[in-house]
Amino acid sequence: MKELTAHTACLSLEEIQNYAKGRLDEVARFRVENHLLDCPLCRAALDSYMANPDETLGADVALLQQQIQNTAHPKMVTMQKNRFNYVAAAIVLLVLAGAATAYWKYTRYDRLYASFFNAPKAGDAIALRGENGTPDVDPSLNQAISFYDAGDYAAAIPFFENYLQRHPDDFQAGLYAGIAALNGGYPEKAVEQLTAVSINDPKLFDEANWYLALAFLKQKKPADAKAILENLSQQAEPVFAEKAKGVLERLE
Amino acid sequence: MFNPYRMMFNPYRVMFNPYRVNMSNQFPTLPNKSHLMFIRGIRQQALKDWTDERLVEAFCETGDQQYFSELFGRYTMQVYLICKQYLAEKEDSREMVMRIFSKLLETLPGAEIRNFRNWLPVVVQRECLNHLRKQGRYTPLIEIEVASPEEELEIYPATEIPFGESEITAALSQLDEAQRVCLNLFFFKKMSYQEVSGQTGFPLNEVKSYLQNGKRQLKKQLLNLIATK
Repeated sequence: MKELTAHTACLSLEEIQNYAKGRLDEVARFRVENHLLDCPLCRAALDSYMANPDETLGADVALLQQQIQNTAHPKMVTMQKNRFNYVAAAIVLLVLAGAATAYWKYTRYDRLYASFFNAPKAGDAIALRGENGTPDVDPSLNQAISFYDAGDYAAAIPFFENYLQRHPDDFQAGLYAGIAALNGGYPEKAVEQLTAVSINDPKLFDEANWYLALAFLKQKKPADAKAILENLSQQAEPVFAEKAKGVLERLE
Repeated sequence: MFNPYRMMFNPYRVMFNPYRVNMSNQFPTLPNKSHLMFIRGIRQQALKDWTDERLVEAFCETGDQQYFSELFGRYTMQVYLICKQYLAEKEDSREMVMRIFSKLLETLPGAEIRNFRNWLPVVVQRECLNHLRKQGRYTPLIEIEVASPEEELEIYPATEIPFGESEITAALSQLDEAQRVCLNLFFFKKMSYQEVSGQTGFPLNEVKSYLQNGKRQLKKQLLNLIATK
C-alpha cells in the first residue's frame, strides 16, 4: 500500500490528455487519480483542460519552457555579454596599437630625417666666391641664397632654378638648390639635383651624397639610403662618415 | 646588435628549445564555450533528479536562477492551464506565466514554503485574479478549486512511511464512514472515481472530496501511529 503515502510525480501532458479522453488503462488511470488526490496543481490543470481541451497545448508549453530556459542563465548571459565587451575592447585596443605601431613605423624615416638634417649656410660660400674673383653674384642666385639662409626653402627653389638654367655647371649652387628642394618638400627634385652634383663635382661628392641619402629617407626608400650611407661610413670624410654611421645605427 | 626584446620573445628560441617543458601537462586548459555548454548540460541533467525542496533551498541560498528555472519548468504546463482557465486568452495566459515566473524569482527567497507544488496554484490563482481585477473583470470562466489551506501547508513525506496492514486498519477506523468506504473502494478494489461514485451513490465531486480528505487524514493517522510506537 505504498500508494497511500508515496510521493508521486506530477502528471504529464500525455497523461492529462489521455485521462481526459478516457484512454488510460487501469494502472495508468489509478496513478493519475491517486496523484490527483494529493496534487492541487494537477487537479486545477486537469479541470482547466477538461473545460477547454486544447490540441496545441504541447506547442504552447514547449514555447514557454523554452522562454524559461532562455532566461535561466543570467549569469552566463552576463558573462557572455561581458566577454563580448572584453573582446570588443581588446580588438579596439589591438587596432589602436596596430595603428599606432604602423604610424610610428611610417613616420620613422621622417623622424630620422628630422633628427639628422641640418642645412649648411649658403651665404658664406657665395660671399667667398665673389671675393676670389669668381663670376659675379647673379641676382637670382643672390635672391635664392637670401631665401635659403632665411629658411624659406620653397621660395628659394624657383630662383635657384632660374640661376641654374643659365649656370648649369655651378654645382655649389646646385647643391644648395638640392638641399632647398629636399627641405622645401620636393625630395624627387632634390634626388635629381643632388645626384647630378655628386656625379659631376668630386669636391662635393660626400656632402651631396649625404643629403642624397637623407632625400631617400624622406622618400621612405631606406634601402637606397642605406647603400649610400654604408659607402659614406667607409669612404667619406670623418664628418660625413660619423653622421652616416649614426643614421645606420638608427636604421638597424 | 644585442636586442634584449629579441632575446626575450624570439619564437624560434621557444619552438626549438630542447629544455622546453610541455606546459599543457602542467596546467589545465581554460574552459572554452563547448566545455561550458557540456558542464551546463551535465548540471541541468543532474538538477532533474533534485527534489523540489532541494531546488527551493538551493535557489534561496544562492539566488542562482537555474535552480528556480528547473523547478518552475516542472510545472509550466499546469501553471499555463490554470492561467488559461482564468484568462481564457492564450496570449494573456502565456504572458501571465512569464509574469508569475519573474515575480516568484523575486519573492520566493522571502516566502515560507513547505510544499512548492501545493503552494504554487494558490499563487497562480491570486495573480490571475489580481490581473482580472485590474482589467475590470472579476470572475473567471469557471471556479477552480485550488489547494485547501491544509494542502498548502502539507509537507512532503520525507521518506516512505513504514506501515503494515494492522496500522492501515487502525488508521482507517479513525476516519468518517464515507471517507473509509471511498478509500477502500479506490485503493483496495482499484475502482475509478466514477466507479466509486456509481458504487456508493455519492456524487462525483463528493467522492473526490472524500478521497482527498480521507487520504490526507489517513496519512496523518499513520504518522501518528508510527510516532507513538
